[in-house]
Amino acid sequence: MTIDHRSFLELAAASVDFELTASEQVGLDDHVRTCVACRRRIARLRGDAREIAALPPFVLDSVDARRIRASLGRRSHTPLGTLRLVAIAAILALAAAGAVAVGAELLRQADRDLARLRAIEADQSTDPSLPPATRAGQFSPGAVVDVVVTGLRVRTLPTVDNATSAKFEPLLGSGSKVRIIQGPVSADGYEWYLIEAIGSPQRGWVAAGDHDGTPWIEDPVTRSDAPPAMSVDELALVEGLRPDAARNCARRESALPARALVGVECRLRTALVARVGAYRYASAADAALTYLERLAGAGVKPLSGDCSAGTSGERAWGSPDQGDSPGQVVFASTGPWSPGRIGCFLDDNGTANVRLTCGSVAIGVLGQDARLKTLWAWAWQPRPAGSGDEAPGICRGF
Amino acid sequence: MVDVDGGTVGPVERRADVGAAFETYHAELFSFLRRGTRDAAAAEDLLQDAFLRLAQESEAGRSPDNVRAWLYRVAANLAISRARRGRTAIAWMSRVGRPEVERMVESPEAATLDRERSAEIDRVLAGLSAEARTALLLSSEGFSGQEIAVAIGRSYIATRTLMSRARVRVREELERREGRS
Repeated sequence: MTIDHRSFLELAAASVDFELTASEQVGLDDHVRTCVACRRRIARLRGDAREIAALPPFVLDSVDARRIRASLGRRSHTPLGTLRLVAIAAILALAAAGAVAVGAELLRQADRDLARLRAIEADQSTDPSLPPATRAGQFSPGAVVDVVVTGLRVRTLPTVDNATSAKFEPLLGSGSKVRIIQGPVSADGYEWYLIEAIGSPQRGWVAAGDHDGTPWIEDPVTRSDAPPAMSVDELALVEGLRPDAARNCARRESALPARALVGVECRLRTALVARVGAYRYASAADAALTYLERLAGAGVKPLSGDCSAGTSGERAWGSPDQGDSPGQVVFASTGPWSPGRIGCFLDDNGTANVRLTCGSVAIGVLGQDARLKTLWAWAWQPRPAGSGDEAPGICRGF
Repeated sequence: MVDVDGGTVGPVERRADVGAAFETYHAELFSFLRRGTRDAAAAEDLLQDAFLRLAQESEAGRSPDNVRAWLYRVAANLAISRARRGRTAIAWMSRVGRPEVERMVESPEAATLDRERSAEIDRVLAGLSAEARTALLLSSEGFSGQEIAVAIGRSYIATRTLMSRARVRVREELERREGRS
């Protein structure tokens, strides 16, 4: 008699999501008892389910999340499939047949729609749900500028409203050169320019920078990597950071975290790290208290989780919490907690964050995506993450 | 936008229930849709659709008791429906003569994932039908077989067969790839 091993494997697979009948369970158990190979495959099959559940999340860009969130208020959504298909078809036509007329017609359509867009712009300028417009530099028609962000979106119209503006594919990569044709146009809190990508058929509208002023396109002639003038205290913060974290630093000009005296922010823009912030406090206790408040705001309790395993959490480094090291803090009726601490969490956008304190300095590391474990390990470099009681590498200068 | 000191800037609430649901669930729902559709732009559109439908339900006084389950059910339906429609569109675009259609619908994340085991699993999942892939992803989000059957609009028995065969196929495909490497 031939044994149908596959049917037992399917039965085991069904048991992952469904309850088997008593007879099915008995039959499966009997078979597994005598079939070593099946036992191994079934174990792996259940492991597959765990691995699927543990797949890293895809992260929605914060700009897109804001745009979708805002659209729920406007309720002006229309199906986009046709619009996107038109845009993709235009690119296909341009690339495959050199049919420039198609692209030109698309842009003429875009121009015709600009009048409509300005009405949208006027409407949205009074929308309190939208952030203020960025002022990320001004570019003149004809200027050739660099894309300085990974994955810059090109659209048929200068708006993030997908009901109006279709997205071109693919995105423009960092280092791409584009020529300014027209602009700027303010819409949705962004400054938009009509551009054509050098060496590719891409022609459309791009936003010049993020809401906080982070540029997405820059003039290579006027760009300067030199940090703006800083105070002695601010310079000390930059110099205390690990060299690879102290790049493109500027004084923190907007509101500082609670209790902070001075602060700097460094825009690394690497594949892993977006920004590093360093803030000086009057005391280690002040730094630790503000840190614990921030972690609590992200739902992370003291001495919880495991960042090294890629889950949100926090713990002490250096002196243990049970000790009597100076600067211990009591937080929300818990503690006392040692002032040297490090933790991690995913923020509202699903982006990995690492926070830590180094004496009277607190450091925040904002990642580019959801890789908690990798970002945490980066903060500890050059030593293996969490080894010994020494300070995390990023704050060894403090 | 979340800054490195933890400050947050977000839109003002217009509909408290839908806004709160968006803040709570949009990240995981986007990831579910992104993996289910294999297309970042489509996932954004479907995410917007799902929350707009929630807003409509809310306005009509029919707010679901379990918002998360409701959103996943709607998202699963949207993803499966899109896949059915998409077969026609992809076939049309391939006739235009551009071979990079598949590349165009992949996002930059793929480059990172390529280095990891998860990329292998993602590729295997991509080989499943939209229904099977959606069902397995719903399972990984903690939904039971019965809930998944309701979400994808199939009978209990049909869903059980669909999912068990999909899991076996995933295992066999991973074994084939492991063997090859």
